[in-house]
Amino acid sequence: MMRGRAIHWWLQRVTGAALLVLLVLHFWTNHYASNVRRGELSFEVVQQRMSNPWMVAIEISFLLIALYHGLNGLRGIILDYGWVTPRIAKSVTSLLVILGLVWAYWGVTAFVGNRHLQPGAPNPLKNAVQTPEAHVASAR
Amino acid sequence: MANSLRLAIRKYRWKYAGMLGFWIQRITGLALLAYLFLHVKTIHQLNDPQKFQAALDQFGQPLFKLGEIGLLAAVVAHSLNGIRITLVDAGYGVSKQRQMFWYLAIGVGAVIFIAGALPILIYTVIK
Repeated sequence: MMRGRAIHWWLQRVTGAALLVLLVLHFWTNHYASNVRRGELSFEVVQQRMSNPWMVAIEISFLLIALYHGLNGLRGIILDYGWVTPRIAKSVTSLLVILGLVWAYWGVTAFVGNRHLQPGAPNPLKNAVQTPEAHVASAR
Repeated sequence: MANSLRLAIRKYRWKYAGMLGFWIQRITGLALLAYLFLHVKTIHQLNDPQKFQAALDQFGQPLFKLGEIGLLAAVVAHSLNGIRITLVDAGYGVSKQRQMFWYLAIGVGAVIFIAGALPILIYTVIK
């Protein structure tokens, strides 16, 4: 049953190391930076942060790597039980792959295709006068 | 029968670092996966700014900030114990794995946890 699957054991270590780096970045900027710490986190702050494509790229890779690591870990826990036969193990793996794909799509569409995160998109929570650029962006 | 039971009880004793580490990794891992579900649920609301802002306001409450401190604890424990597991797997410090558990995962972990939890506590819970 383990044949050809050692790659996942190895990848669990590699993704674990990658997560450690991404986690420090993510925790620092999203949970710890001074405006967050003082409770000044708002849609506007997140909107500004996520209008930077690099930030979006970091978040999406964080999500995908975390999902692989988490679901592979869950697979390991389930397959650890004695009653799981190779056939059940196969269905468990398939189910987890499907779950992972749906979960990834759910997360990625928070950023990709989100009209509020387009460059120059206005803040819909603010009734203040919009800049001309924002008007053009919202009209598109 | 009695012998194998005694052996099982001895093997699974809590005082063994490996057993503690095993359960810490498992429980924090499952908790983090559950948290990731809730986290993605919230982040997806970026498509609906009103809902997202309402969620942020809720997460600013002291109770949720305490939850964030718990999240930090889970993340730190899982990371450091994971480093220990990876090192032992790779063949480094096999004879020192017990010390690594207590000093690295628990000791260094406690320092990082306190350093991270104090600002959250002071800025948002106590104020």
